[in-house]
Amino acid sequence: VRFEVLKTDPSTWEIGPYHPALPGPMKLRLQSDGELIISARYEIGYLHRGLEKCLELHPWIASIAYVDHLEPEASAFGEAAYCLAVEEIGKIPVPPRAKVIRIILLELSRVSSHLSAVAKMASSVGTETAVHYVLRDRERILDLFELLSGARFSLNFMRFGGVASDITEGFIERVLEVCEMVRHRLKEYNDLFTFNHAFLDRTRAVGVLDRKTVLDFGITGPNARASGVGFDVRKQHPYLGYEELDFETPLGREDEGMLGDAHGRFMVRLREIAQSIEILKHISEGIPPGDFASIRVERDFRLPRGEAFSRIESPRGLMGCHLVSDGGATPARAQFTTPSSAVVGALPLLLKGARTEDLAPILSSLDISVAEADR
Amino acid sequence: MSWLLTVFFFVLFPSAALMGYLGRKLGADLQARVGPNRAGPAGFFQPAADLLKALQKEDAARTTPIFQQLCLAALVGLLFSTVTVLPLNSQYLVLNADLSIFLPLWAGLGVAMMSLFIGFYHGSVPSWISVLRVAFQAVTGAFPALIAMLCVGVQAGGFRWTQILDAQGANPVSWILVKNPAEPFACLIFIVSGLILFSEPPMDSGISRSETSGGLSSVWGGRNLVLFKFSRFYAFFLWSAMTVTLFFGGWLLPQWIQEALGVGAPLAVVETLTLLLKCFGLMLIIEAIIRVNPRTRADQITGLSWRVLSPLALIALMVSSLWKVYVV
Repeated sequence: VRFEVLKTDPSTWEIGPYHPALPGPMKLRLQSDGELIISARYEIGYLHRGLEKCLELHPWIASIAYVDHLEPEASAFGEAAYCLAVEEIGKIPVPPRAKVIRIILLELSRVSSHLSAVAKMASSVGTETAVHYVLRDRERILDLFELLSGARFSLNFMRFGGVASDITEGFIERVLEVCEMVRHRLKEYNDLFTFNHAFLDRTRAVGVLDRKTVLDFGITGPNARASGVGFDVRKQHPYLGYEELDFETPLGREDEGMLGDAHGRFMVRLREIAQSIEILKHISEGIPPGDFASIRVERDFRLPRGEAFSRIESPRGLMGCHLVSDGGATPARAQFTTPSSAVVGALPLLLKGARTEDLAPILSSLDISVAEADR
Repeated sequence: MSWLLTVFFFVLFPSAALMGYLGRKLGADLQARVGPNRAGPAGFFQPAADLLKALQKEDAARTTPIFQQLCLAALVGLLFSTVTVLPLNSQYLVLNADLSIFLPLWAGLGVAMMSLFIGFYHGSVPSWISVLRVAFQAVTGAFPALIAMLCVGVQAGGFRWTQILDAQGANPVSWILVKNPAEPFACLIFIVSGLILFSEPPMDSGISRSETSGGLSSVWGGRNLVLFKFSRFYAFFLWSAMTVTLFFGGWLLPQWIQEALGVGAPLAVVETLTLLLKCFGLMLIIEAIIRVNPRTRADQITGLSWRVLSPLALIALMVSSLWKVYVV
């Protein structure tokens, strides 16, 4: 019997810059053979705001409001990286109470950002009910931000040498309440879709990010940890007193499917939410008395000459801030290293061989922030 | 003609509006939100608002090419030809032939073919991919659906609607669903394969997946969009009405009610309402399942159809046949 093979040319498919399957404004140029992606190229920069240049043009005190926009989903992390770099150059001490308030804020932001990632993942496979549940719970965390800083997204709350204000009365009780609520909700999420057969079919062995790719591209955070690379800045290079906290870094497990697949990344984020809840409960119980800031930053604030590089563990991985001061009223150079840039770089490799239908789950499982990649 | 208008204006259009409203309310309840509450009391006129909104939507292209319009007309025509075999009541059954129940199956395949033409003519990659998925699904869904119908035919002794309903009663214990151990499976296979055949959620990977945005579902605007959406509702309704008639006693009423109503219009109205009630119940159950489950991938759908539904349907047919020969 002779079989005739139907030869077809690959299709070229340009997605973006605005498309529901994409994590933000970016462009993907795909070549597909039927449903299989045979090559992928990306183009970013549609959300470039010249953030680093803006920092060089504004006084030190005004810059915190700008770094908020580095990653709007978790603005506290940009603030923390920037403040830590400033404090290192100026040798500005941070009171213990301010450190604890910062950790509370950062861990709440991490939970909020991971919940947002969970919602995106659910949306990408068409589970709208899960999206509503998760976003409803995230609102409770945004309420806490509002209680603390008056804002829900761009918090503008950290200051050089501390934070803008002390925690309000009843804040800790509300934090503990929300922690308990999220802890219960995690079980609900698992019942609803984490171990839903159809969800597993859509996410297991999909978008596998192997250990070598992680190391080659410098991918960090939950995406790397799901592939078995146990790097966490909070453990390896502790800051703000994380070294005094007892917590584990969740890693991907081979017994749950393929190491580094979309489901593994999803699971690591869920476990990190649980981990952050434990950190919050532990730290909220022993908040030390004292000042919430060591100095009052005035309009004519200046730093001595010097440079510093701070690094923190943001919800997406290692976030670094390289800051140079020439003793002037504005930073001489500000530069950020963001985890999403590394992930975007690995996309051509990761998408090659994937099915077009898996595009949205793969991209959402990586939790790419185009805002921080473009800056 | 007057019969057709009656079916459309008193059965199909109100059903589409009511199910649109109930579906949205059910979805809202499951998702812990309020749902429609602006248009009219408790948002009851939301379907009318939806209709007006859809009518005002502009086409992606300023004018829809004549070929696409012709394909849409053929798609709608093929689908609505099945109104003639819609088993609404015993009084006004237009076509009650031996092959009546198979017409929707062929219509489903025809709809898939027309979708294929529309998508290919549209000329964008999302359109090609989405219509290819629709076509593959239709082919794979048709086979198990056909076998599940045969299971019912074997049990009932024929394929006319009247024969199928004569084999059942108003009482649930006399429905075909419980006549032999294979029928519940046949029912499940029939429902799932119908969703696959007509690319209905959650088997609508060709139409509603985010990466095919700009594909088949985005081609239309205004009247064409309304027609496209209504035909998708109709396909869902048709399959539900068939499921209810094949497995859940259809329009059948208890004997004393039939005697009280006599023959003619009153009986037809009550029978139609009975069928609609069962139909809406089934559709809402499916809707609830859709809302909480992820959308299945096209290759997983075809895999499910070939590897699970088709063999199971064949086993169900064998069991039904053996049951009919040796047990009944």
